[in-house]
Amino acid sequence: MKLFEPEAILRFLPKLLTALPVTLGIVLIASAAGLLLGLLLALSRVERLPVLSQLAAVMVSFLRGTPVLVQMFIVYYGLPLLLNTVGVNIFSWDKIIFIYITYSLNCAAFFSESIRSAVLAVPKGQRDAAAASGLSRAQAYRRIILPQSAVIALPSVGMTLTGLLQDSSLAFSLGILDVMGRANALGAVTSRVLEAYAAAAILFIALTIVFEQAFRGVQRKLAPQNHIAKGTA
Amino acid sequence: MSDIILELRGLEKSFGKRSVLKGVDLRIAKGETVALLGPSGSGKTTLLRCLNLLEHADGGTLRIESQSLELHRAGKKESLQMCRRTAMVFQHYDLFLNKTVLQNVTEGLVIGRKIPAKEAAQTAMDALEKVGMADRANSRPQQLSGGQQQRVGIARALALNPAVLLLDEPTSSLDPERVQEILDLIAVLAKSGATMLIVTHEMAFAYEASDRVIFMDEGEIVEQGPPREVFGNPQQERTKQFITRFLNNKSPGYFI
Ligand SMILES: Nc1ncnc2c1ncn2[C@@H]1O[C@H](COP(=O)(O)OP(=O)(O)O)[C@@H](O)[C@H]1O
Ligand SMILES: [Mg+2]
Repeated sequence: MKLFEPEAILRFLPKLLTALPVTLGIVLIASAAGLLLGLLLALSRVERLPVLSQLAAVMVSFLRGTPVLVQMFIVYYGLPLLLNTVGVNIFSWDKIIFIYITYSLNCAAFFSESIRSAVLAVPKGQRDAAAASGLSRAQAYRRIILPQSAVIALPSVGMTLTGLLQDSSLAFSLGILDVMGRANALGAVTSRVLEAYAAAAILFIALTIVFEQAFRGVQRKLAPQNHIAKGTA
Repeated sequence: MSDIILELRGLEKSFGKRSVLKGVDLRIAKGETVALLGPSGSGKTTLLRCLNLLEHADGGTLRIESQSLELHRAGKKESLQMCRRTAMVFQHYDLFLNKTVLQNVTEGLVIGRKIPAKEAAQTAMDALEKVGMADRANSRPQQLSGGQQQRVGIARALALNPAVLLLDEPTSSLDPERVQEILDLIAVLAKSGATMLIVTHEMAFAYEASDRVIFMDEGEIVEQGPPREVFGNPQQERTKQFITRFLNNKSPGYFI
């Protein structure tokens, strides 16, 4: 048996591709839920909502300051226990649900920081102008502040997303058969461990490139909205 | 001019422990142009913001047209109603940067006032016409010079058809060579019958274009009257000092 057999990588790739939906599912669900929760966290801090803003600050610094693997185990083992004390039984939930919860929370923390600084970067005078034009606070956010914040936050949101893609590979430590879990299993069964991980690496690199290109595309599309962009005077 | 369109009594405002407005009374007649002068930090901006309800006052009663409001306990709905009786032109223009020139003007009409889009666009174009910006309706604020942006800012306020137009140092951020054209525009609006309260450091403008000058210092109205009297023969020591200091020493730092 050869030490390293490049053809094995080619054989493994299609098999790993079948696990791609699991990885993309984690990324998609976590980024959607994370965006929503991150927005709420960010706004409660920007608006200095009593109690909520302090709660958000603690939550964000915990989620940003601890490894996602630790968070995963806390959610997986801790959440059922916690909910059990209030009479809710989630011991039978599928593991993947806990993965979704972990990554959603983790993403929310990172997104909330991006969104918060983006919201604060929109010149403050526009809020006053919106109020003076008769817009409610919510309307001002929806129509004036957030569209501009989105453009500002986009690069760092993109970075969080590519980070999430890599981090999602840690889900295999709970036995999830995502791309990484699948590579792990393939390696064990065929004894072609290095080839299996090489195939996984290729897949992740390809995905990252696709992500980055997609984000660049969105950014270009939004460029005319970007208040930093200068047109002809 | 006895038709008082705006009447303010005993306006109080503090930031923390610092009292910024100490019982300000103000009456403005329909069609009147009032220039508000005073050193930096005297509370001019805060006064305008309280009138527009951008700032929550600690005390005072405001009547504009037929609506009266006790400012410190105004509910959301009444506040919004009162807010719509004035419109504000800002020192830094503060145009909505994600909107076109036209959308900047229609935003308050369509979203704030629920006016049908078509009608709002017509009103907005009329306002842009008045300030000479109709041909830039589809431009973005970033593509405009400061003077042009302020024209749009004025159109945005005019389109709201306010009972009183509030202008907070509308020319202070402009290049010196752009100042006069904006002042001229405001003077035309004043002559056309608009009611306005304008904070300005342009003494020549205050002298020529206003019906009345109010001098404010440390949160109080110190002196007011026709420009000829206040500038020519100020009664109060503080007013005298302010005016002489301005005339002798036009160091801009003092006024900013
Ligand atoms: N949001 C605020 N928070 C705290 N202090 C403020 C705030 N806005 C204004 N002030 C203070 O109130 C005083 C009056 O300010 P302002 O109304 O802006 O004066 P002016 O427009 O005449 O220069 C100043 O001392 C200023 O520092
Ligand atoms: Mg001011």
